[in-house]
Parts: sequence; structure tokens; C-alpha cells
Amino acid sequence: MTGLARTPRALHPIAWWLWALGLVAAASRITNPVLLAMLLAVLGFVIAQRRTDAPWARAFKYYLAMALVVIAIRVVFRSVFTTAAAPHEHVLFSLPLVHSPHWYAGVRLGGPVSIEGVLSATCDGLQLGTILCCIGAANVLANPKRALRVLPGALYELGVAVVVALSVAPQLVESAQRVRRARRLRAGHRRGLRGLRSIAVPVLEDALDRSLQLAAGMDSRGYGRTGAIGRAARRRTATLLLLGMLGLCVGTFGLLDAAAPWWLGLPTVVVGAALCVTGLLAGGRRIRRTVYRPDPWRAPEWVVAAGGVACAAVLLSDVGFGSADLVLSVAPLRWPTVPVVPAAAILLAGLAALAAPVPTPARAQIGRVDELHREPVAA
Amino acid sequence: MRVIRLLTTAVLGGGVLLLPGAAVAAAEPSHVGIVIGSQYACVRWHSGITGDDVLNQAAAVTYRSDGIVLTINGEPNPPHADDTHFWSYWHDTGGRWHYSGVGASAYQPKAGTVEGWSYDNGHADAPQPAAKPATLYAGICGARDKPEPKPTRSHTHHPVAPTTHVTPANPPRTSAPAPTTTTHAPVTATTATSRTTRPAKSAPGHSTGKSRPAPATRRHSTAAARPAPSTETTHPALRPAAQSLRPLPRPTDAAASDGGSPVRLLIGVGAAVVIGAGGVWTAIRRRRAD
Repeated sequence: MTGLARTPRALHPIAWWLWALGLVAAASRITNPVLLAMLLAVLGFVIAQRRTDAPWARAFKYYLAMALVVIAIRVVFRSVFTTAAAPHEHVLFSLPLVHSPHWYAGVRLGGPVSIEGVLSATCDGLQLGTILCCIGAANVLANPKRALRVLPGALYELGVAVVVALSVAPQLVESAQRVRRARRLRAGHRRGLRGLRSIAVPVLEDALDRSLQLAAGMDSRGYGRTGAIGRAARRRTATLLLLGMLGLCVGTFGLLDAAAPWWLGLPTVVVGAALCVTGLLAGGRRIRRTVYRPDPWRAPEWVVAAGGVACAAVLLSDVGFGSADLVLSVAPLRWPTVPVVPAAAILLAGLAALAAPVPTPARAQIGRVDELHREPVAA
Repeated sequence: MRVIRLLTTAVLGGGVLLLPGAAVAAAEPSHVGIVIGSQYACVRWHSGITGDDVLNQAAAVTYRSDGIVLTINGEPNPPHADDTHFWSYWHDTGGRWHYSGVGASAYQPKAGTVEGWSYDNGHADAPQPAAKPATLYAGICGARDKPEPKPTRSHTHHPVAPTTHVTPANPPRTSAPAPTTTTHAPVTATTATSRTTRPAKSAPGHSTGKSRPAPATRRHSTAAARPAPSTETTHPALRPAAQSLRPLPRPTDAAASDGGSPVRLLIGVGAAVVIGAGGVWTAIRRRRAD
């Protein structure tokens, strides 16, 4: 097994997604800042160890920045709009107070800002930010083009569009960098609007060229052909999907509204889901794909996926700790506790950094430009 | 002035209770009653007191981090709050419960009124607190007002003196305590239960929960002054509340309570720092290698 783990290869994208979604489920129960910090540290460590050199794999710092923005927004909103100033809270400072008229009671601007309010807003923001970073980690670690493969056949074209859209930004940045470098080599260093024009045109041209190459590559491999299914079958598929979606919508409403009749709830959801699945299966039949380079699912995949799922299971189970330990207590204000079991579960998920195989080094890959073309077509 | 008050007494009280004439001068109400589920307490009123203050003086309250009331005296257990599970906030409007349109910290109850809290356990409409408020204030706080017009200070900030104010648990007698079917969507949970606003200068004139000091109830306080439970059949259903309504721990006490072992906290923080540093170190090394 260790031999397998040492062979440089990409881990199955679904394993990374399961791992990350497990951590999302875990984080959704935590507002304890220490546990959240541990979770973030684990994410960062695993990414630093096992990310590839692809353009999308360098994006984790942006997710971290987004988490900071989330925290800032949360704190500002909490301070300005819904200040909690119970008699026993510690007031930090006071903002000017604006009253709302009585017919709009319950909302007001400004007022005293308490330590408790700021702390709880920070931790709530940290929780949301951590969840964002978990999703970011999955995006960074898993190759989106290979994850596309597991989409149901009927959604495949939609998925291709999403993946192409996702990889446009890094691709554009890369193009811009290349053009700038070339320009600098030729000592043509212009700034301002004129400089922008001299870069924008080659970059757009470059992107267009690549898109055309990609399209040609996909076309030559049999993409976009509709198979041998007639118009009637397509109509049937569309009807099934529409009805299924409608059922899901109405059923969700029925589930959430306590006053709705019982049959509008769970039964409608189940029927809607069944219709959707049938529609997707029927739609998927018209797309035939063969697998060129299958992603294997071996021991490392099991370990990584199990680490994330186990972490979620432990945190959702409340076994060996109290759910009160997972949240920051602001009333009364006190230092956060560090429950042992959840902390161990989070650290366990960090084993993914060791269990996952080392990704293929960039030099061994055929070339950057080729990367975009090769992957979806290979599917 | 007196005449007007007597008139109001007759008008308001007449329908509810048979009063023994208007000769007895009643004490000015100086407290606020509070009913939590089927339990109650009496809190000394002062100018500027908010619904949140009253609640906190009567019971141990925990809040969710966004300010929503999560538990009152440990209920519900485990703590839970969502759209259909929340503590609803009510005002006594002389005869019926009125769902509060503002948050507890934005509402300043008047002396002689009763505040209500009831837990909505999954219903679309929050249930009303267990007692009908027309005669409630007298039952809860009447004895406090009556003995001394100016109660002593030592009396003041303590919730429920157990023995004197407890009335027996009985099904409501005649007046169908029943639902005055005012239905209220739980959507207002956030406004009603969150401490969104500041106590001191809140909502200038909310018409919602304004209630008169209910003259009828004042009168009734003569009866309530007697501790003997057997005579209290005129009161709506109330369960003995004394043992479960205890004083709120002072904030300082609570803050002093330990927050778990500091060793574990340090280990946890240390682990996060070490792992994070490991990640940063690896990232830097990889960037150099590129």
C-alpha cells in the first residue's frame, strides 16, 4: 500500500470532495474558535502538501481572503444593525444611535457595541469562512475536469460549460502573464491605457485561439453528438425533468411550511426526486462515453474519504462530548473549552496529507497548454 | 382623577370579576409580573426597565450568539431554536395575551403589567402562555404592592419569594383560559425574542403591547395577599413555580466560573499553530522549489 501511496498520481477527485464535504458538515456545528482554527490549519497543511501545480491549485489564499471578508462583514453588520446590549454585557464603545419609527420597530442603527456581540459575530463569521475554505480546498485539491466525469450523463454538457467557465479566469491570468513577459523581453514597456490595449488584444486573441483548439479537439473526439435518440424521447426526458423539478420545489415548500397538508411534504419530494432521476437517466442514455484514463479508487482514496466522513460523523454524533463545547459561550463570557474527541477527529482528517499520494510533478506533465485540452476530452 | 380611575375600574373590572365596591384604595403597582410557560414570578419595576431585564431577573436565560433567546431556566434541553421552535414573547393587554411586535430589550413594560414567555415547540403559531392575564398581575404581584406602598429596597431585585406568591396548580376555573385565537406567525421570532435594541431608549411609542395597570387586578390584590392557597381559586391556572424560578446568577459570578481546563486550551491552540505553521512552511518551500 505504501508503494501505491508513493507513486505520484492524482487522488480521485470524489475522494477529495467527500473529505471536504465531511469537514463542511463538521464545521457547520462548530463556532468554537480553537476548533475552527485547528480545522483551518488542517486544511492549509493538506493543501500545502498535496496540491498540484495547476492554475486552480494556487487559489487557496483567495479563499482565505474571502473568509476574512466574511468575518469583517459579519462584525460590521452585527455592530451596526443588531447590537445586543443585554444588561449583563460588556460594552466596548457606542455608535451613534438612529431610531426607526414604531411601525418598523425592532430594527435600528448604531448603539452600544458589546464584546459579546463582536466575539460571537467573529466566531460566526469564522465558521462561515471555514466552510468556504473547505469548499475551496476541494476545488484546489481535486481536478475539476476529472470531477466532471462523475456527473450524470444528462448534465454532462452543463458540467463542461461550468468547468470551462471556471478555468477561464486562471487561463486569462496566465495568458496575460505570458504576454507581459514577452513584451518585457522586447523592451516594449508601456503603461496606462495604451499599455492595457497592447496587452488586452493579444490576450483575448490567445484565449480565443485556445477555445477554438479546445472545440476542435472535442469535436474530433465525438463530442456534442446526440446519438440515436429521436425527438419524442427528448421531449419525454424534458417533461420528466420539468415535472421532477416542480415536485421538488413544491415538496420543499410543503416540508418547510408546517401548515401545509402532509402529502405536499415528503411524498411530493420523493416523487419529484424519482422523476428527476428517471429524467436524468433517460437523458444520459443519449450520451455514450468511453473512459480513456480511468481514475482508480484504491486504499488512499478510502483513507482520505473516510477521514472526512468520520470527522463529520463524530461531530454530528455528540458522543464523548457535549454540543455546548462546540460553540463559543458568550453568556457568560469565558475562555473556549477544547473538547478532546472533536479535536482528535479534526486532526484525524488531517491524515489525508499523508495518506494521499504525492501529485504528479509539473515537469512530468506534457505541458500547460495541453492540460486544458486533454482532460475533458479524455473523459 | 379618582373618579376617572373608578370609572375605568368599573368598566374594565366589571366584566371580569365581581368587585366589592370601589371604596378600598389600592396601592400603586410597583412590580411587573412575568409568566414563563406555566410558571411565574414578580419583578420590581423601575423606570426604563425592559422586557429583557424582567426576564433576566426572573430566570436564568441563555442566548444564542445572535441574541435570540435560547433557553429559559434550562428549557428546552437540548437548546434549540429555529422558525418553529422558539421562546415567544407576549404582553398582557388586559384580558388577553398579545404577541409582542418588538424585541424584549426594545420593550419597556409598565408597572402593573404582566410579561409572558412561552415556548413554541414546533407549531406554526406560537402558543400563548398558560395563564389568562386579566387577573394575573394581582395574583403574581398583588401581595408585593399591597403591604407597603413603598416596598423596602432589600425586597427589590429578587425574583419570586417562594412561599407567598405561589398559587396551586389547578386547571383554570371558569374562564376558558382558552386560546383567544389570535394567531401569530412565528416569523416574528427574531424580532420578538432577539435583543436587537437597546434597553434605555427604545421604541418611542409602540402601541402594540401597551396595557393599563388594570385597576381590577389591583383591587384583587387584597385576596392575593393571603398566602393560603385554598382561597386562590379565583386565579387562573398557575403551577407552583418557586422551586424552578431561581435568582439569576450575577454576571460576575458567571464570568468567574471556569471555562474548562486551560491546559487543553493551550494544547488545542498549540496544535492549530503547529499544523498551520507546517502548512505555511511547506507552501513556502514549494514556492522556492518552483
